[in-house]
Amino acid sequence: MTIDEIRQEIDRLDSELLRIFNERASLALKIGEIKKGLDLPVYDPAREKRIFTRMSAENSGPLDDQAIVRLFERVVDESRRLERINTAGDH
Amino acid sequence: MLIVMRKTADEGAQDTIKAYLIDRGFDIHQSTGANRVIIGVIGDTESIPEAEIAAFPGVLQVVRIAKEE
Repeated sequence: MTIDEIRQEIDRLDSELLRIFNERASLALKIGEIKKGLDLPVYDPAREKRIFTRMSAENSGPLDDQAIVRLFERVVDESRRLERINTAGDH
Repeated sequence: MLIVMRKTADEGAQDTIKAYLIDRGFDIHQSTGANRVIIGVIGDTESIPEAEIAAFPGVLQVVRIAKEE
């Protein structure tokens, strides 16, 4: 493959990641609504740890496990932020 | 604001400080390195008492980001 072809493939994957990130965020918002109804806190450290542990266990590289954790930390941080804003905005 | 956790800080210490910040309406970005965890606090952190954060178990350093004039 040429550099341009590889970059086209990266662009395609980035677009797919964008769609998946937003699909995941939509589900996180649903969770936030349920938590609000049950008066549960937005921050659920045990759940966050399970995500990082599971993603590390499923990781087959070339990204190492620490990199995977850092990436998912950001995904989880942003999901939590979205939940918090949505919950606060509904008050 | 950046909160640098000690190498020896356990996950419980991280959870406590994160819960404290989130309960007060701040967003956080955690970055886990090989030896250190750094918690970036997003929002108007001027209202956060630095000494109170520094007193949490497991906190090595609290770094305020200078305001741009």
